[in-house]
Amino acid sequence: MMNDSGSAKPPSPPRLRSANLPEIVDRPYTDPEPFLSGHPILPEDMDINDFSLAQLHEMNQKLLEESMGAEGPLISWPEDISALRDEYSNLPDFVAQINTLSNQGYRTIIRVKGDGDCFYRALAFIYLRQLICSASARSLDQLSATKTVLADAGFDEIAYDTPYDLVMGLVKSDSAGHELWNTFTDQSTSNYIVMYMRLLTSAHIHLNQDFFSGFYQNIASDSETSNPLAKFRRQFVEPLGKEADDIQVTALVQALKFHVKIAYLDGRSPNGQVNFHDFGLDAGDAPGNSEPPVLLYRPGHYDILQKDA
Amino acid sequence: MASISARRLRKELNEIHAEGCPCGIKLLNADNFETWFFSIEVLGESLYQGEVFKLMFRFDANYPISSPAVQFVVDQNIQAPIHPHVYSNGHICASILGTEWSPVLSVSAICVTLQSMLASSKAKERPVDNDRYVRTAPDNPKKTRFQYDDDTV
Repeated sequence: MMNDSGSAKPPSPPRLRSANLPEIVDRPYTDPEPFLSGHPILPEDMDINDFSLAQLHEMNQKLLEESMGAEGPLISWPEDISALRDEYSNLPDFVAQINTLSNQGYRTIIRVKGDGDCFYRALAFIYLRQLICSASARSLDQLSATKTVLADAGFDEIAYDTPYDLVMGLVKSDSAGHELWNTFTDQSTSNYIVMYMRLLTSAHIHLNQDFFSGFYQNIASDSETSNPLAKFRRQFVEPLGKEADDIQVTALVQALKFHVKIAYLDGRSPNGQVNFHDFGLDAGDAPGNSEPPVLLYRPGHYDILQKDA
Repeated sequence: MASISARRLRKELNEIHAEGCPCGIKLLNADNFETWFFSIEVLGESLYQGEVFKLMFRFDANYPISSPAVQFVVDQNIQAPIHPHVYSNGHICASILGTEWSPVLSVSAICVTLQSMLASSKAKERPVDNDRYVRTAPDNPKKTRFQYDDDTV
């Protein structure tokens, strides 16, 4: 604003901050944003029609988790694929697909708990196992490159350095077998690994908004916010327990510069054929000399599939 | 080995000690990794000029994966701000403390957001359902399910 009151003071240079506002530490991502507020739902007022779609989804997922039982481990010890076949014994289309997988040499399944984090946990497990097994300086470089993604996305370091140190410590500890499994079955450690993967997914989506906004159109239709992608990341990527859709799957595989195949077990193929989809392999990339790891997808759930026991 | 939530809180505390709190926020007490207290006031012109409030943060072992329980302290010495989103028992209705919590947020970030919630307030009044809520409210605000629908802060 111009000051015409005749004072001899030269106009002050333009400033980003108004002196009246509280000083805000320079953290692009955590700056206060407008948030939703509303009112508490009192028990006497509860009515299913009052819940928003997002709340119903959340309640549904909780119910699903409860029905899966709390007793299962976050990641199971490898099981023979016949155990899976037994579960589907009265669904011939599934059995045919499971037989196809078995005939292709996929004999083992590692089950991942269906708690909304299964994709992130499964991918983290096979990614870290591969990094540890390849045991090269390049593995460490690859992992530290992911930290740069988070920094570039403007995340506050405090949000990611604890889980990053944890994941890096794991890769350096060089324990791919039983110990890695132990790590992934420990709730707290395992969830921090998932948290790191989620933050990385969010950061990668943020840094590649043009690419991901295409994916996002169907999901965004109900949103009125000025930055629906940011809201989507905040609501459906960063918090634990929110299932991964194609957008998150694509983003995380890209961010890790990883290559994974996903086998679709959906009981929809009359001749027992199983479709495999490649994620994270660009047209220009030479496929590695070893076969990429495989995730088994059943609608709404991911497990790990492998050839060796 | 300290739990991961304690390690994260230790880092946040170190940062607060090294860099100080955002303006208008003061750390009153952080003797453990379960409960922290801050004083909070709005600097500059606002409806709350000259008023100082006290915030309580309660953390569980899953912080920052799960949000902290945050509320204004209400006792014989101090009251919660009179604000359309703040109940007289100190509970706050803000989606970032509930469904929109993200582990990317931190204690300082919450303080700054609540400060800006107060700074932009246009009316000093309690939420319309204050009395009904306060009568039956649980001790821990995280046990309340809020319906978020009002986008105006």
